Amino acid sequence: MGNGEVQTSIQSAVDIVTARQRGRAQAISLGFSGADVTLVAAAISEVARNIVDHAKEGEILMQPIEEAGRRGLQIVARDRGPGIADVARAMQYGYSTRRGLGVGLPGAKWLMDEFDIASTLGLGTTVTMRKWLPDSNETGHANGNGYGHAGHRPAAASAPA
Amino acid sequence: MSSPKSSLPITYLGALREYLARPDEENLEQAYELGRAAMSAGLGVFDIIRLHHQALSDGLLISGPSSADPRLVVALEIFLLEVLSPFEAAHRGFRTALERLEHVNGELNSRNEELATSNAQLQELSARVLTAQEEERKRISRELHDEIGQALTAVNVTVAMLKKQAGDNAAFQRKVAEAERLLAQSMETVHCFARELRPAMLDHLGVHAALRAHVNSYVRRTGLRVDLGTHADLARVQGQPAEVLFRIAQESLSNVFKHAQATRVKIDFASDGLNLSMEVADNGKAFAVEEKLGKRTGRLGLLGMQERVRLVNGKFMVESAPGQGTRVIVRVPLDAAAAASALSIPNSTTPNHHEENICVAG
Repeated sequence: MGNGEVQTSIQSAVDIVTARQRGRAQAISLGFSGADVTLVAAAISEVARNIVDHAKEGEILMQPIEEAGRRGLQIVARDRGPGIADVARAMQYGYSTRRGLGVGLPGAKWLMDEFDIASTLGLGTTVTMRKWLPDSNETGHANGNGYGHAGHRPAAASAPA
Repeated sequence: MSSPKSSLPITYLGALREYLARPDEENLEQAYELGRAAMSAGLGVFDIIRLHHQALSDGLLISGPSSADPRLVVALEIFLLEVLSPFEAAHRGFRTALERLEHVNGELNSRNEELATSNAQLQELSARVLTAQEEERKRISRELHDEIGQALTAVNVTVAMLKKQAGDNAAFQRKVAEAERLLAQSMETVHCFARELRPAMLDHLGVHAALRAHVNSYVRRTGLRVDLGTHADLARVQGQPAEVLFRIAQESLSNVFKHAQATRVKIDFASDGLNLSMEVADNGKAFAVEEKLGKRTGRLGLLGMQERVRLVNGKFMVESAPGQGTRVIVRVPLDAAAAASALSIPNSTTPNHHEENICVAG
């Protein structure tokens, strides 16, 4: 955790508040605008709720990242729950066990710049999402394949927001 | 979804009050959940703004701290953004979906254009094939008539001379008579072929005369009863549309003889001054039109008719029902310009095979 990584264990609704608070604090210290800070908190709400509702427990890791001269915030939500049988379907518009638009994992994807999800039945789900500081790169978040070096880029449901 | 619409003003005011009293993450998360619930309940952004302002006027500005307090202004904004973020997510989702739709739509449009182009090419090709076929038939018809017909006539003259020379030789006379009979039969067959391939009458006496001659020959050969109607406007049908009418009547009659097991055929005409229609109806057994016309397994006959009719901007229809026989209906424009073929090559129409059978049936 020497690189500023913050880990939050997620087991109940109370932990969602904690994760949001830590994410908000990191986003603010990185220099995100008020509106973007709110959207980061909203995205954390959705991935954290996904853990509470479907996996019972997991964790959220947040850390500042830097790549090709731009800076941003990376949020990884990891659980060892049942996994998602059909990731593509789960990411389809409007699909959410809680119903409603703009919520669930698709909602989180739309609020962030990059979103990756890897899920294995019986092993769990890992969501990796990033938001870049708008002025840290002229082209904004055009570079959607910044996951290559980490070697955990999943085969399915990967797209920049 | 957990909050009914009517309770939202109170919930909103309550949540905002709690947040202002204790501006922590827990109360912000409550604001976010309030936004989710409002969206699930079907509320829009305008509704949220109205709730926000209602909360300000109903409660906070009257009893709360001064609105001039800059910290209050910031807190109110943070709270409102929190409530609105599910709407922002939905909005971004719609935008992404719309971009994809536009992309897909663009691809569909270019595919459609490609399809339209190749369809036009296919139609042109089909028109060329039909035209070439008709030209070929005409040529063969002429060759049959001029070359073979003339040769047979010459043979006939020779046989007539041989007949004179035979004198009292009875055996010789019998041989000559046999040759004469075979010769007459061959000449009739050749002329029948030539007529079926391309009736000279069609060009010289018009479609009705050509049809009457064809029907007479058909009745003689098949024994079916054919009622051929007429119409004054038939005289106005010339060139390609005339060929189309003739070929379709010819092909329909051939189909009736070969497939329908009918005893009667009726050919009728009608006109509305712009289009002339012809109906060929039989009392035979029906068939599944869609199967014959729509599928690749369909016989070429009906498809060929359809193509020919399209060449002259006409309409083609086949109706077949068990117990009611089959009706082939074709409509061609009377105005020559309207009937101008896509290729503007004169004399096109088609063929079809089986006429031979009718020629040798007699």
